[in-house]
Parts: sequence; C-alpha cells; structure tokens
Amino acid sequence: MSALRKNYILHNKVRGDQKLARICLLLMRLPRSDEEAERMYGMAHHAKEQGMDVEIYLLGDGVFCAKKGQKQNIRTALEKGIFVRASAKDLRARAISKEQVEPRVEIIEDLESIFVEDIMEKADRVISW
Amino acid sequence: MVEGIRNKTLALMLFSSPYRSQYADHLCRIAEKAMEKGYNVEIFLYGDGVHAQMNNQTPKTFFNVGESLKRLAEKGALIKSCLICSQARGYIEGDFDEKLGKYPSSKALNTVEFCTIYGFVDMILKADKLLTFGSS
Repeated sequence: MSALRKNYILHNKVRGDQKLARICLLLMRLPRSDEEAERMYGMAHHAKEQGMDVEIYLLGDGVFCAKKGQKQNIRTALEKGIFVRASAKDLRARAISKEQVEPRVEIIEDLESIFVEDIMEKADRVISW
Repeated sequence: MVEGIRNKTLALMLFSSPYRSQYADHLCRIAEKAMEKGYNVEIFLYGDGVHAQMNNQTPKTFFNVGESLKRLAEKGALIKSCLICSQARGYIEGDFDEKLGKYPSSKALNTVEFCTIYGFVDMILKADKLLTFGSS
C-alpha cells in the first residue's frame, strides 16, 4: 500500500464529522530493509500532530526498531507521546536484551493478545506493515 | 470466551507464503488470540499467501502454519482462498463440483473455501477491522 493511500486512510473520517481519535500501527518487518518503517514513523508523527492517540506495535523483525542508538530511532516517536510496545518473545528470539531497548518501550510477553484487544475495542483504524 | 463481543469480526489477509517470512505465523497467532477472546475471524489467502493452505505441512523447527489454519477452522474461523491464485499455483484439479459444492483440490486443506476476489470484498464489508500481512 502506498504512503499516499495510507495518508488518505488516516485523513478519512470515521463517521460524519467525527475525526479519528486513535490509531494502531503494526510493524513486522526490519527497519532498514526498505522504506516501510520510515513510512510508519512518518504516519505516526503525522497522526500525533493531528491530535490522535498513536500506538505502535512491534512484532517479529519489527522489534529491531526498539533497539537503542539507531540513527533515526524510535526515541523521537516516544518523545512525542507515541506509545510503543514490543513483543518480549520476539526480542528474546533475536537475542535483544531489555538493556538494549529504548527505556520507554513497553515490553509485553503476550503482545498479540493486547494488540487484538486494542484494535477491536479501542482503535478507530489499524494499519500493518 | 468473553460474552458480548462475539458479533465483532476481524478480517486477516495474507499475501506472503509461509516459511519465507514470519507473516503467516503472525497472522495465525493473532487469529488464535482473537478467537480465544471470542471474536469472529475471517482469513483471506491471496497471491503467494495461498501456499499456506497446503496439506501435510511438516516444518521441522518452524511454526506449523497449516496445522494452525486447520485448528482455526475447527474453532470456527472462515478461511477463504483466491480461486485464480490457487489455480495458477496448481491447487485446483478441475471444474466446480456441483455435488460437493466446491472445487476439487487434494492439495489444499478441506476447510478452505475457494472464491474470487469478490469473496474478499464481502469479507471486508462485514469486518470490523482488517489487517494485511505481507507485501501488497
């Protein structure tokens, strides 16, 4: 899905004049293998600037985004008030310790469970990469 | 099962084949969690994603996608597969069987329903949320 199309979805109104209030973004791919992680960050920042609550979920290879010290890392998103959650199981599978993860990233053992509840009960939109 | 949320539906679309990436694993795990919580789950296999429907998958160390789809179907998940994509990859072995009410396929899981992309349109019209897995 193109960035343009995803931005259209972001701006699309839910019902009547009600604007989107909460958006969940799920990243399952490596941050440097293509532009998708950058697009997700761009969309997250844009949504936050529009006043939305933004939650980023990192699953599978997406957990590499949670590592400290990257040039364009998740810290900017965290500083803007975006919530970031990473799968504990996937961090362990990739030998990434808690000490290597950005401090404000929430590490969750059963991320899939929390994610399902969030997208089905709270989020207005969910987009996956 | 949580009472009162049974009428909500999560639709999941898979574009990637299993064992090439973890997309199929993530789809299955999310679907399992959603069903545990009492949501309806509908899955659409598209493009190389149709390989997830293959019978007798026996990965030695990886998560078994075929077994997971079978379990999900047994629990009530609806699994649809793109007819054209399945034909292209050799899963369909003849014309529609009126008696059986389905396309013949010895290679695909029995619980998979073959349909055109319009089946996906029906799915997203009913779904409360849609997630895609793999390159689109």
